[in-house]
Amino acid sequence: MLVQDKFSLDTLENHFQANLAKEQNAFFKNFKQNAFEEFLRAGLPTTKKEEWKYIDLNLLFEFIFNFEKTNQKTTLQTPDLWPKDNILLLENGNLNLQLSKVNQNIVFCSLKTAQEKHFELFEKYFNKIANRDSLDLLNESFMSESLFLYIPSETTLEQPLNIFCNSNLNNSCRLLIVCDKFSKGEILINTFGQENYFANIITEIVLEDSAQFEIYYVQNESHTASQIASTYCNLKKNSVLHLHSFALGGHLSRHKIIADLNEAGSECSLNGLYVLADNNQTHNQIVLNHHKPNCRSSQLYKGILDDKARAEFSGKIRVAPNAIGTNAQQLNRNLLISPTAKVDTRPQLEIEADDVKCSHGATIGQLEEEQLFYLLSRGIDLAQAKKVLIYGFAREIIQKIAYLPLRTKLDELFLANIPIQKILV
Amino acid sequence: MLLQIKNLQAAIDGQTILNGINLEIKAGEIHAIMGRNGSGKSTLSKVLAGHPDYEVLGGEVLFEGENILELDPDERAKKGLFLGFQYPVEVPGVNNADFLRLAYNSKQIYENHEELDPLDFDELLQNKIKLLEMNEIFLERSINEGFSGGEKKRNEILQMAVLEPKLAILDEIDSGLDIDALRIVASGVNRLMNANKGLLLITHYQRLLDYIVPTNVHVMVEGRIQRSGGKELALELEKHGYEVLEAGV
Repeated sequence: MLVQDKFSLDTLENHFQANLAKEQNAFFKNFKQNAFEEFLRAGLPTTKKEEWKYIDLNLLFEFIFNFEKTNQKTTLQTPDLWPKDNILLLENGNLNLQLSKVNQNIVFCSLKTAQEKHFELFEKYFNKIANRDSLDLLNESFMSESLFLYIPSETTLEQPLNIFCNSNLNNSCRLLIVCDKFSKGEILINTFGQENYFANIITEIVLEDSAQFEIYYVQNESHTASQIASTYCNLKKNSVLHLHSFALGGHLSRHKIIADLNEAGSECSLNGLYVLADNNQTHNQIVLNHHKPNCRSSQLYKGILDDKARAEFSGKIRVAPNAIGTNAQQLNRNLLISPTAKVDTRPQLEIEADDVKCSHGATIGQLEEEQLFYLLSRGIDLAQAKKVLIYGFAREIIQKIAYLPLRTKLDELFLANIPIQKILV
Repeated sequence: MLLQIKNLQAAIDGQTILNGINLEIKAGEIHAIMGRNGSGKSTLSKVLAGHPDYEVLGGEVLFEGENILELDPDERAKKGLFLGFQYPVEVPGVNNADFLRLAYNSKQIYENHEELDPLDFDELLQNKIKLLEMNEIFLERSINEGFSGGEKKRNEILQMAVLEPKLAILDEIDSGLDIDALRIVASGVNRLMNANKGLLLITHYQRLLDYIVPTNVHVMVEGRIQRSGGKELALELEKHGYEVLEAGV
């Protein structure tokens, strides 16, 4: 069978229509219809487009077109959730209200409930993303019940809020997170699952004036699954967002982050760590837009790749003509443990304003022989010495986590992800 | 006999640096090797520790009677050989105290002794840092990262104090030290030395030998030991310079 036939738009459309027939809400029916029409105009991703250039599209299509994984009647196991407190649980993109419990007075519900019961907020914040890519449009066409989260103005989250996305079927989930003026807190988004599903996730984060948030996005999907994620950040006046992105799981994953510093005085830092082995692939694509004067941003992404793993880092800083006084930094560093691992790194700057301070850079390297010898000369064996150096490389990112129990947890997860028996050469 | 080096020849990048070194160190002895830059002093220390860039062309190195040239660097270290680096390596992201504990416990496991947990190890460490008048903050920083030259050298001796090697080779441990730091480092080394241990100092200057008094002094020229003698040889060298000695006077 030709690839075009196997992955045909007709099959996809049939599938879409069957899905749409189940949608009861008139608003979302219309929304999905429009999204799918737009998707048809955009077409499936092709390597001719910059953002798909490095992604194994055949592999991606295998996941998207695996329709068996869309409505199987298998039970989704809920693993031991960590932490147990202050949680919102989404199962294949649908909020499980029985298992969700939040200690504070904030708004959380499905998008449908938001549209019915919190219409003003919904109207103000839903569907405000410009320039969606074709997978985003596909997400909207098949959108699950999803999550609307609203943190009212001047609210401080007393405890970190933990959002879990558990999957075992293909699903298109949207997390709309609105942090109103002067709100403050920490949010963990932890994505995981069982078996070989395809998770398409759009996260929207709106920070109103002077809101301050630490957001941890942990992609810990099953190693036979795929996750395509887009995160859109909209920062208003004097707001501060620290977004930490970890890619630890998944066979094929992408995390695209578009951060818009839309008003003066806003600040955004993006920290990332990706750890891959086998023939897994991950793609980090970042666009940081400085639209207004005197905003600050920084990006630090580190990658550790073993076996035949592949990674892409494409990071762009754009500074608009009037965004004077911009301060933007970007650095991507990669450690290749095996000679067959591969990384494509493309740090880019597009500066149209004067009086800005911008820097960017990228490195790709192996473990340093002199450092290894130093540790060996102290009686530490080779496998242990390598582990220590690999961990040392990652530590800079893990140490930026303010949420201490999460830092400990990620330490454990990360150390478990270093394939120690494999690095014994 | 702690260390016997017999006709050792070694090269790096195809260039022969050591042309047949012979040296014996007994327990309780402090040997100093002096010589000009490029005479092969540092190469000897790297070859003894097992640096992979150096190729051994011939000869033997017996440590307590066992040929160690086939052993990996970590195995040599576990047997009690220690190299104090001329240029200690910076290892960002790796906590100094964690590193010291890992090194210490590697040796404990090798000797079938109990490993120490962080609390017990910290107690051991506190005593050692007092010996070197080191500030505790160096324990919580990454290994040698951002340390001054003198701090790095003290950190080398701290590692020596923790590992208590049978034979320590200290490669230019005096370079980059001011006179106060030299005194502290030297007194630390002297306190770690005893009748069961050996010391091999590699240095340019007589100055170090005022603080750590050697039993034997050797002069190295072009990858060979040209002359050996007692501590007075170092003074002679200071007075007349290498040229006279190299001429064989």
